[in-house]
Amino acid sequence: MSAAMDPHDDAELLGAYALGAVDDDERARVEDLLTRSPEARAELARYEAALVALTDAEAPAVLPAGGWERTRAAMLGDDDPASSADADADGLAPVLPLPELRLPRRHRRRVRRGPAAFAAAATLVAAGLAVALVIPRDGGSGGLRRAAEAALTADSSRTGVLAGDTVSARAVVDAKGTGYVFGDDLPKLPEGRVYQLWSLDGSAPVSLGVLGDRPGVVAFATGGEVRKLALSVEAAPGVSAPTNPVASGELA
Amino acid sequence: MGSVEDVRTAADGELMRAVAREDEAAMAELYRRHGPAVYGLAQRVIGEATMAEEVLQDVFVRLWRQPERFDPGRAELRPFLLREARSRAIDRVRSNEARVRREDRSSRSEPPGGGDDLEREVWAMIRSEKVRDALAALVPAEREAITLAYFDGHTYREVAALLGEPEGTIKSRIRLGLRKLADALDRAGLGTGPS
Repeated sequence: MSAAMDPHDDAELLGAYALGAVDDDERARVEDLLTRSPEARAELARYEAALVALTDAEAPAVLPAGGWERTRAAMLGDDDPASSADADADGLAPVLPLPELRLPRRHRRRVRRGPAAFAAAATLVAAGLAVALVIPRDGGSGGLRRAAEAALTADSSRTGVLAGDTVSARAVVDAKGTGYVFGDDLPKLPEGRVYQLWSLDGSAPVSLGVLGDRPGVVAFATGGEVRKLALSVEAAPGVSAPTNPVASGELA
Repeated sequence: MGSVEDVRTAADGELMRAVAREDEAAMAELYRRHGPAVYGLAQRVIGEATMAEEVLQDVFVRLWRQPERFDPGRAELRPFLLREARSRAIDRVRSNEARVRREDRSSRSEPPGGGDDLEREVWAMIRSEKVRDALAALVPAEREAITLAYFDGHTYREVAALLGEPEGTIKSRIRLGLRKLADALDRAGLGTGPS
């Protein structure tokens, strides 16, 4: 009994306390120690910072689609999450509505007619994954390719090359935050595998879109400043955290 | 007292002061900044996305409604939020439904933290070799004790029972493991000390 009150014993609990792995009595004792001991507070702060790194490494996640809207609605007691003022707060690239890309009207029609693409996109949205707009390598009307090439030559754009051992692709993000990947040289993937694009700027990778198995020019929305990008090869329809990176690079 | 001028560059403490003034933009930024970690930890503990999102929402709604619960003078925000997330995730895991789902998950996958997958998961944190090196500084027994307690929601006493080790041994192992992890991250220049 008396040993349980030993301050050294309480200090020995600091690690378990940081993990939340103590009972109520022990928690109270450690918190009492923390009020009295700057050394204990400093030790705990170091453990907590280490756990933040461990969490980021062991439990990376992409926020659920629409999560901020639902959270905001709950915060405000609002039943209509669609009224969110800041849908970008998810940190997710939104599924690109075609008008935002200002595609030529005829191209919008062409893409919208693709039921398979729509079905795939719906599946991905349901899975909480961002979806990039993928233009096949034969280019369709070429409108998006021209937009991508224009972005590549604009002074205000940031460009880079995503390079790996066996693949590489050029990337550019224009001043408005619309990004493009030139995936013409990416090898076609076997059935059931897809390329997925990631932002590496935060504490965990954020999916910018699933690019399909043979991307040509791909457009994506960044929803904020993106500097580090990576490509991974994943099982279709995509994943919430990368498992098989194949290329990465920085925009400058 | 107006809103924060640039939420993207404001420190967490500044954003929390704005949240206390019911500044939604500040709250949205905190969600963007810390939500993935909260959600990731909840998913890791629960093993199921729907309930993990409930935890995510609970944590941030509570932060909005009771911002005074976080004392910026005593702690960093991220550890505070992770502690909240873990606690709420464990509550759900301990419900029967969650336990069933989790056991089903366990039967289909390897135990968390158990082996070479760690390297891939570390890559998921911006491919940080520094963090990977820091984690490698732990011996497997330390990593196992920390993982069972932190991600699987056990108290150190339960970990001791699970591993058939004395409670004092597990308590020390957890503390030593965290100290080694923090030391390794410090050496790597990742600044784990309080700011």
